[in-house]
Amino acid sequence: MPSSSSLSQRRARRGSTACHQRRLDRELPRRRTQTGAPQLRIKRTAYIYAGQDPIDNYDVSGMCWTGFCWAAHAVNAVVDARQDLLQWEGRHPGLMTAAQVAMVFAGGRAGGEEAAGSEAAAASKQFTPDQEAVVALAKSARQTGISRSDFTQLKDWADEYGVRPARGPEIHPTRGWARTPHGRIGPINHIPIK
Amino acid sequence: MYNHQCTVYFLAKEPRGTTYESLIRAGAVPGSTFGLVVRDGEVLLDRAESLLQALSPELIEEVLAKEWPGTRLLDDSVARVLTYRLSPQALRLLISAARGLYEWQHPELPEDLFIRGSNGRTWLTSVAHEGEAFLSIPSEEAARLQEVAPGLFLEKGEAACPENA
Repeated sequence: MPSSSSLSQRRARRGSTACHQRRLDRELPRRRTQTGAPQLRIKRTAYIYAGQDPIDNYDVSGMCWTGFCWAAHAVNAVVDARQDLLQWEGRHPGLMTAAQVAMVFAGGRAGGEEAAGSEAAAASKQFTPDQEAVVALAKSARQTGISRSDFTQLKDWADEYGVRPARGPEIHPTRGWARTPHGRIGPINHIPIK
Repeated sequence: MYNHQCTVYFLAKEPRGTTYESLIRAGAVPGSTFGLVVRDGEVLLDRAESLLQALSPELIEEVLAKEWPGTRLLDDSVARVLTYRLSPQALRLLISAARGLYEWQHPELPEDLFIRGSNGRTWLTSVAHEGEAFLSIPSEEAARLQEVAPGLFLEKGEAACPENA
């Protein structure tokens, strides 16, 4: 039969203090995941309430450890909105409005067009499932080498699914390993072609 | 084409900034030319297209080729190899378009900048996506070049060279 004692009573028996508190039981073996000096930069994490250290800290009020979580949550909201915007721009290149560009600027990158462009380019490097499959095949081919006919097929798929660049086989006859035929599919360079 | 070994000076580190500028200026002797490559099927950014447009008054020839200094294609694709006069105007554009020699890559820019001397011999060869470049120059010129461009780290070596190198 389940105990009729209240939650707070059961916690009190175990050594915890009160309801809505998170208490570290120091008798339990725990692995510390934080190493080195504490980071000053605000990180995108779920543990802001405990000063980024949920192992050693606990939030007495159940709301926030430092009292400044509202600021951290605001930063997170801006970061999330910015990422959403950049992903949207990656899916719809060329459709970013001035207001959206201003939002990207608000994300903390200086440098005008170049900054927005590089972020958008980074976002656009997120592959579709088809593109991921092509890149995965290229990765595998880089480790094992690939026949010329298979590379031609891989290049055709890269063209079909818009993985750029797709080039090869080619050689750089001047020196070194590059004298042997190799190719490139998207970010995977130096695919040896047998 | 690459039928003999010759002594060259590899650029041990990418020339960037003032070193890049000094290198390009050193190659800009009267009668010299330079070349850029546009790969088959590559979509260039507006920046690259604008540069090609700005360089068009200096264009000497545009050929579809399977080979250019530093690279040979083994499939059935070809690339546009554009050769230009290395005039003061073109020099200015080359210096302002890139901050480093290996920035000459698609899609931001045309690829693989090379420079030929007034005698038609290739002076500078680069394979930008491999981060490799070398100068086909005698030792005296290498010494002089290191004086005018102290940031240029030259490493003497042997490379397979084309007939005209």
